[in-house]
Amino acid sequence: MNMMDRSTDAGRASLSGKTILVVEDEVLIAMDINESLEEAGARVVYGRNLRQGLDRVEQPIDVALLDVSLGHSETCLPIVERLRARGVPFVLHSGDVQRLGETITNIGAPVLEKPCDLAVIRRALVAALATG
Amino acid sequence: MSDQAHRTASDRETERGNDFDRARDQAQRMQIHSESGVLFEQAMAQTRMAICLADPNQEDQPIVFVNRAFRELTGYEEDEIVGRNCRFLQGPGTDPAQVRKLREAIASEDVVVVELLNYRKDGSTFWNALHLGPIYNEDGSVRYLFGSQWDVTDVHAARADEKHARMMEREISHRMKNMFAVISSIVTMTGKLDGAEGLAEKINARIRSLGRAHEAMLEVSFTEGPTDPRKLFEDLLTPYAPQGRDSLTLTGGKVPLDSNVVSVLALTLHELAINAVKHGAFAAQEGHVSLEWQVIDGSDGDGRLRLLWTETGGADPGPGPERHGVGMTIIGRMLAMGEGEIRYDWRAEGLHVDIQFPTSI
Repeated sequence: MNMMDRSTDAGRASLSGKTILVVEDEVLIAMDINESLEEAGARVVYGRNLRQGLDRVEQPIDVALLDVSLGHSETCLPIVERLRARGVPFVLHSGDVQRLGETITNIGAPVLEKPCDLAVIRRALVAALATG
Repeated sequence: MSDQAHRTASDRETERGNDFDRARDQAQRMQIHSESGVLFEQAMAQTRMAICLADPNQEDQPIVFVNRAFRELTGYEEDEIVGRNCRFLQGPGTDPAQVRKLREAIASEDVVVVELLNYRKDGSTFWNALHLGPIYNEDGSVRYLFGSQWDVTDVHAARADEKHARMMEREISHRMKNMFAVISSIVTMTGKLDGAEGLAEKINARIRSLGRAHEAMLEVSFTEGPTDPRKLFEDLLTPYAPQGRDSLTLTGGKVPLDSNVVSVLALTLHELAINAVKHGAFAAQEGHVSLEWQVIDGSDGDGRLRLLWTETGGADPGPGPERHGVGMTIIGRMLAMGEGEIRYDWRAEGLHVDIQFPTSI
């Protein structure tokens, strides 16, 4: 994974100096993503559940990466609403695309399906920043 | 139903009166007299159990009595029922084997309980738990066949759902094992071709632990409250323990666990076990690990799982490593991410580790 990261350089420069909200309930996955974003020069604000995500979404954020299902049958929808209200772009990240099909379609944001390459995540965040 | 709601109390009174009259008429027809006759009338009219009596001494064993619950269950009126053999409730979906069982029981004067798919007057079906048995005359000859029926359609649906869930569970288990096996093979193959077999094996050991942990928790429904993590701990640690289960003491009860805590638990215990194999209790044949767990209150009011890992019988671990290895670095970072903590105490008798993290990550 690391070798691939180095060879594609995707999103490194453009994420530098940005603040990224990551909401993800699998800490191992979050660990991997957050490290990769920090290596790209970004500052990561991390929430591991809906409550923390909602709490942290109020800080200044440039872009967000949201896991769709956050356990306890909760989804990231309330966070999506807050981000929308503030005009912050975001990317969805889900291992449950089939089951959450309608929920995801209704949100109408870019979706990355787990498991997803770190370089792809970084590129998607750069793209979201450009459109947002 | 709404129809029923609009009935006045006096309507209901009249209806109940009619029911009693009807039961009395039938009781008279059946020559049930005196006090037992009155009891019979009232009991039959009131019970919510659908009841019928058939006469085995008449041609084709016709029904001679049904109560109100029977009429309500089947949707037929009394004059459409009395005089007919019970089989008019059967239809194309009724299992002939169950009907045969019924027939044999009647012939041998046995009491039998069968579940039959029956049909109402409007063609709709219901699962009928039918209890059938003989009622005798004083001389020992069969006087009536007594049938009580209960609509068990809901039970049937629940059972079918459960069966389906079991099937899915097995399918998921199978696919999951396959997936972990495939991942393992890829890691091994890549390691071999890239000259990193040692690294591949380390990765594989972690993957195997994850697989074992998720397999152990597959039957656990995380939404149904606290779960017993004993099997999870056993499956994770036994492969590394020199004398298997005998090298372990597991103490603790049920704890509320979220599914995403399983991976964290699995990797944490895996690293501790690997460390014990290399430098601690699992390196000695007589070495022992005690794992205690309990739920404690966190500062934010959320429950935290506390694990106490105590090694004995191994070599003196010394003052502890200057620098943590890969495994301990992984646990440390992972627990920090999930707002957990880990403390190592390198005691002379063996390593002692105190771990805490939220039960819901």
